[in-house]
Amino acid sequence: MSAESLRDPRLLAQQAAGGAGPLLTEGRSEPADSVAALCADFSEVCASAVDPLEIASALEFDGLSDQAVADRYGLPDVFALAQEMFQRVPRQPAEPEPLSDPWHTSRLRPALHGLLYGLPAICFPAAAGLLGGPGVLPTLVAALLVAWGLSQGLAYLGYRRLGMADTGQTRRVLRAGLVAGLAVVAAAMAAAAMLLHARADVVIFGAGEGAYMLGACVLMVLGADRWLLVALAPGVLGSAAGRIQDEIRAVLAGEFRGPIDQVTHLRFDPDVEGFAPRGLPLWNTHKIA
Amino acid sequence: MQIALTEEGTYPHHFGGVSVWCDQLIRGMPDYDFRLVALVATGSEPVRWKLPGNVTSLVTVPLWGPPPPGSGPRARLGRGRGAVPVGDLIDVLLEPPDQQQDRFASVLREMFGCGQAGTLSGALASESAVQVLSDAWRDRPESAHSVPTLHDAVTVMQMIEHALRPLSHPPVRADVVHAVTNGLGALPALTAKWQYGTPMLVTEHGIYMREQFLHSRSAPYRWPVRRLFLRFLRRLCALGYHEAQMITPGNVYNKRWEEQLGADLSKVRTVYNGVDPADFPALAGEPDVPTISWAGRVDPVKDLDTLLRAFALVREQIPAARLRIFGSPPAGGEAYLEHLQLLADELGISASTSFEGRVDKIRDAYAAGQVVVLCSITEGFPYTLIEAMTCGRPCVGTDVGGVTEAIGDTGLAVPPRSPAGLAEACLTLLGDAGLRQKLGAAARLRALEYFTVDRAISAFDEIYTFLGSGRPLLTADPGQTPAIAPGAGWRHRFGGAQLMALGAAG
Repeated sequence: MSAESLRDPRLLAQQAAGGAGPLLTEGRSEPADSVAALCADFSEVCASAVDPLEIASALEFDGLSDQAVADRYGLPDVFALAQEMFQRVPRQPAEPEPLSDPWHTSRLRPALHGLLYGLPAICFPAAAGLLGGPGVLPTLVAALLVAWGLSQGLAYLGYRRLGMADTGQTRRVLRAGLVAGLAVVAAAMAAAAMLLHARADVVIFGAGEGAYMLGACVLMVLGADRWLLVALAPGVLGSAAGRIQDEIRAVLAGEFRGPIDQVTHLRFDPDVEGFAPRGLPLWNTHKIA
Repeated sequence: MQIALTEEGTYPHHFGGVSVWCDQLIRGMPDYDFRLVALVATGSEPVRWKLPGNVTSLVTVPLWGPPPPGSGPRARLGRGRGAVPVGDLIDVLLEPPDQQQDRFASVLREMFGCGQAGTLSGALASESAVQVLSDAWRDRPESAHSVPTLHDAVTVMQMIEHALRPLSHPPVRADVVHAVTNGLGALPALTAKWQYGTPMLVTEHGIYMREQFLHSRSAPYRWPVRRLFLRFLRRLCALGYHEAQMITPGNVYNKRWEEQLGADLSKVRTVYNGVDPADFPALAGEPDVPTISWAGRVDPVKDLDTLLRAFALVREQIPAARLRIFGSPPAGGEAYLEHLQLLADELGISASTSFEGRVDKIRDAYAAGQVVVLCSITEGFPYTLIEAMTCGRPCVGTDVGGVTEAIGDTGLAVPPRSPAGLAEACLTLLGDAGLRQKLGAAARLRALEYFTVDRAISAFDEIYTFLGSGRPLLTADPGQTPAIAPGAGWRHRFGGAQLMALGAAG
């Protein structure tokens, strides 16, 4: 390539010794050999060339003029020299550098996405107290379907803008879409309240569910998924705390009767005579022993 | 008279030399109305130039983005009425570039018909087209070392589909259609010629095909893709030259390439780029300190390494000499400037060398030197030289591209990458005030005679009038090419370096 031949010591030495002088004075100074040397310098260009003119463009780009070609190589011009080089060097094209995969993301991101899709389910127990009265399920399903459809559409519009590398326009589209989407979800919930006689807290929960989905869509398109973890934290922690509290209460009340008790007994006291476990054994104790 | 200017990726959406030229041309010819047809990437590019009043319309032809309207996938491939001759196109492209050019011309003209009927893009983008190409490749293997893949076939058909989109747009109506580039940018001009018989003119500033060859070397495509697409472009350029009534390269250096690409030299008339002399009045006097001045973009192709090494040699003879470098590196190329500063340190010339950065008035950069130097390893027809010459500064330039053509006998030319030769030429000028004055005055005269905007405008005025009237043209260069013929009696050798100094000899 030209950058390499820029530093070609042979050429530099020749110049240091007075430019094209030595070859200028002797037109017949074994031009064949100098062409061979040039072919070696430009081997990559020649091996990958699709046309002699491609070599000519590379030679000229490297500073070779018709005059210099005539002086050094005894050929009429750059084009004749390129033709000669094209014939001498067989085609062995180099493969291009593999392109970077535009779809490549870190492995963490899909994992985080999976987590983010699953976490809302954990929030429901925390809200169990709110979800009573008539029309709970249809109301929540309506909120889900409306917000899901809207957020899919909004994500499409957002990614289109993002694909044109126009972040400003992307943000504007997402902002407008979020506001419009919230209005539609609110209208849907108002309709649910009227038609299904859902309680106010159910309707508000449904609206919140829709708002979360639209907001999540905006944040995911913008690549700011992390904020969703923050948004989900109160619900998740609340549910977890409630669950732990229930377990502790159950254990304290001695109500916990699980298969683990039985297994433990079977496992460690297999020879206790007269032990009659409740329920079926999970495996044959004698084989284990 | 209505002139249609067709171009690709330049005026009025982008800045650069060609855009400056277009703007100068349109503003300089207020009696003509101009219709612009600009090939753009997506069509969402903003117009960056304030359009002159005599621009009557601007049509953008996006090569990317959604396909042209009406291009469904159901077009018939093959021969005959209404069919899109994809197979013929591929057959021709697999032939050596110097054969069957007539067939390429008729295939492209048929494709123009398909484009107007709305079937072209769909056909080229179809699975059948990819199949035709894969079959052709399988039947005629070109290299055992780079076997085409299906991905290659898809890639190259996509490239051709996008490249030929101008054929699907309505042709522009004008009295003369002037393509300001060859290649894809000439396609709208070809459609105007085919549809309405509009006389066509092709101007090239840089040779389109030469630039494509250079760019393709860093493109991420495999050899079969590059080969087929570059053959397509090469044939397209040959077609542009063939269909044009007249070819007007910006310098004689370009003419060599046009000849190689199949242009009929009897149609070629060189019209030089020019500067406005009002912007570059003659400089009165020169700096007292012997100073070499350089102006331009600080970039490796400008080979400032050689300039620094040459200057170190100059300083051995003239210890008081100074080197002033005006200009900044392009964004992302700052490393080269740092490299040069380190090199200046190593050579022990950093105290007498200054990197001045950008100047508001480029004329100040020429005024700063007793001698103006251009030491690039590659050039087209450099404005730097014409501007310095218009200012009346003697120049030293490397013998690349159109440099010797610009300098002619009014400066010194040295081989590229020769510090010794460059130093010798600089010393010759720095040591001889009389020679500087003589060459500077001759340079200004030469620039005013050949390289002014007015001269270019009057040349095109004449060409448009002739083409528009349908009268036969006086082609070829009617004895107005500056004397630059190599091998003339003014070639001298100073030491090892080969200098061209007509003024000094005369």
